[in-house]
Amino acid sequence: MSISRREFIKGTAAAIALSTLGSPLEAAFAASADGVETWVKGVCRYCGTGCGVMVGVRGGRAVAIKGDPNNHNRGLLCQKGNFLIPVIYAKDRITEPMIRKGGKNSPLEKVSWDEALDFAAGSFKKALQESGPASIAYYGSGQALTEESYLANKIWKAGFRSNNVDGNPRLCMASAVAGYLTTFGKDEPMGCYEDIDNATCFFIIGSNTSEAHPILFQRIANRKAGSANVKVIVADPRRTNTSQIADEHIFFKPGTDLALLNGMAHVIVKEEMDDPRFIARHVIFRDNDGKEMTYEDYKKFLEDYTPAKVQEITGIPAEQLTRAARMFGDSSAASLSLWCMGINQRTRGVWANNLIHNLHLITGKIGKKGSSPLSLTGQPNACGGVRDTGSLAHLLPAGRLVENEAHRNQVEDYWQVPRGTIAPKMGLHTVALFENMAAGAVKCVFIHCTNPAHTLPHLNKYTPALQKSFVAMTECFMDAETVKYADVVFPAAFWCETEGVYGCTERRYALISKAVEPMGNARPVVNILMDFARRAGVDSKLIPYNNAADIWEEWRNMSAGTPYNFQGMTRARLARESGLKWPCPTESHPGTNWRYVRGDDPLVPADHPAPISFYGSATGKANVFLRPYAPPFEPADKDYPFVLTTGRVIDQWHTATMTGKVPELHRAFPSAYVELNPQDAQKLDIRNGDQVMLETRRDKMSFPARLTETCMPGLVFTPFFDRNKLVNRLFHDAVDNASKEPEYKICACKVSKQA
Amino acid sequence: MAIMGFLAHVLEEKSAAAESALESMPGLSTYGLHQGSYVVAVAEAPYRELDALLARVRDIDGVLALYMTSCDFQDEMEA
Repeated sequence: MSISRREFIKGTAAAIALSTLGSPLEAAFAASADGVETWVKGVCRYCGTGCGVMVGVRGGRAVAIKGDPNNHNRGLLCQKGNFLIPVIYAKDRITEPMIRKGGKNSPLEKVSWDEALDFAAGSFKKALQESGPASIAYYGSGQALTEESYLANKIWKAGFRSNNVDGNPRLCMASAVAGYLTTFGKDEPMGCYEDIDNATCFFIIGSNTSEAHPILFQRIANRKAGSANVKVIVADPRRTNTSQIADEHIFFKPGTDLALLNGMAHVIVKEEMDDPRFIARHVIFRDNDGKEMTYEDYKKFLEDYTPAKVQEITGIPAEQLTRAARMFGDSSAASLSLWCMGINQRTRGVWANNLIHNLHLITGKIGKKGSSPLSLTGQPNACGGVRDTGSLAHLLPAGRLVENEAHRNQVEDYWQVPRGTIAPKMGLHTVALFENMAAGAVKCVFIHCTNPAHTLPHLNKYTPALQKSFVAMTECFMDAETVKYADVVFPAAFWCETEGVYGCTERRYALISKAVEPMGNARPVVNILMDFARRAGVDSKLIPYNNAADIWEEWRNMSAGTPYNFQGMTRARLARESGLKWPCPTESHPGTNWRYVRGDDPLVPADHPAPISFYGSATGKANVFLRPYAPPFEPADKDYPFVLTTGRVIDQWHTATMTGKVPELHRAFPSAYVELNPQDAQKLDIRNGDQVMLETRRDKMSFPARLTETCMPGLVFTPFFDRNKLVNRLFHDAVDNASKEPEYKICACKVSKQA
Repeated sequence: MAIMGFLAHVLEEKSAAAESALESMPGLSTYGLHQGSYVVAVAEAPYRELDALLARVRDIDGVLALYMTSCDFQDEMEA
């Protein structure tokens, strides 16, 4: 019997799909599709789930993709990841360096690498000489490779002596960072994806997991389908696909989640679902100012959050809140909380994070399989690349702080620069950075792998900053909005055209290997950064690397002795394995699933007297904060009676510079729209497809209407991916006091039918 | 033509009807219902028409989500 080539490829595709379900056809998975010469291991380029992928190469070109069966995603990919290959060969890839010779209004012209690098370096040198280190900045990305972020951080903080190093993670997960830091003393989650397989109660709040993290949603849905005892609570003012699997879908007035969370704590304590023994051993209660309080003080504080009072604030029926609290607090339940931008992108985002942690700490549902507060991350390397390497304005590598002299000295010693090299004052966080650019105080910015002209809040206020400053940027795609403002564009090697490490939500580091050569004259970003830095006057001894592997080697060894210890993750080991979770101190260590847990976390001594140790905090205990309800910065009012919120859709990612290249994805959501509840639409005489004007105190824009029960009455939603509809022009720029993360999720607006 | 393997995640209570609807779709081959809620399927279509095919799959009543497992673009990526 003979079969055709196409039949063979189809059979292989079916076998691969079957093998992800654990079928006995697993061996078929190893089989290459007909004609693929090599499969190269990597990580998906999109969200923070960090799915493993295998890129099929033939004749020097990427021609196929499949999920990595050995990574946590078990061979599955979402639709975005599945269509990554065509993005590499998009027609508008930037393949040559370009500069504007006649200022911002002149066209970008192709030039040599030398001319582009000298042009950028000359501008930065001039700013440094005339105005000092505070006049230059680096604005990075949670999509950049770890080696790129580590290198840029070192160049700026030790080479240029400027702490103006920030990036787009400030816009998405800074509140989660500050939440972990304030509660546990150290950033990053203690749990992992295996908790999903062990949880019996999922509490999903501020996350449309099914669209933003589809592969994790599959794992949750699978867990739920496998056991009648598994309960799912979804708290969201929108009825999304995620809520389809919910036992309790809690609709609440946008911006009232602090009351919701304290209300759940109230029921848990009142009905004695708390764990006094765990609390006595592992918890310290603190007020908003950090002053130590007692458990009795906390109980009194919670009296303001009876289900009846919470119903008044949130609109959640008291009985439903009680049911949800009982599901979470049930002594037999393993409770896993998952949240994302709905919690983080808030002016009280850090408080909301703290209150989620509170639920786990008062019930002792932490550090046990299936019980954990696990924040989901929006970008593929915000955790490993930016948070862990300390590539933010207030941080240094491995959780160290700029304003801590001992921390600065440790880093200076490791980097072999004189003590006092790193400036003692933290740099500018994102919103402050662009304010300072607009004011002329920051004169030059190097933007890497991100698109702030599309993603900053209150865009009308901040795009003039890009117009005023000298902008050097690395970019892969010509249609990124920020290219319009660039003075210099460096063509960057894209995903799988260069190698580097990504670190995802669950502390898992994985290597993306190089599969194909960069397009045209594009170069790896570490080479661009080093060449630029040397020309701008940075001592070559500070950056003595030949490639990304050398940088990884330095960073890996620097982690030794810190709570981030991943010294056991050599490049060779990462190339062999499909990701490892830190801490991982030695090459024989398998990685850590449950941090802070004796027997699993190598940093907890084997003879530690308790099964858990919050060693990140000086007290060895975690903090339960008494955080009161506070409204959002701009709630709906009589003049602007609707709440506008924004977010992702399943087939587009961020600013669509990648997904917009794939017709399969783009056609599903070609342009932005506004979701409106039919009740509201009826009152305003709006029908499906009508043009609707959204007006806020900043600007107004029109969108076609989609009438849907997804939004509760009073709420409207529009996605942010569409560069022809820069919805962030409508949003304010108020930030969380602690994390400095903007409140993208809530602003007041008017809705009207356009004539 | 691109060839794509995927799992259609279907609601258990609607799995039989959803599987039957998938089986009857042109351009799609199915390989059974597994674990009560996953239909294994392979789509075969010109790369630029895959989206329309997938949109039709998503519109089937009872289909909760689609998870891709592989995609072979060889015929169309070698240009």
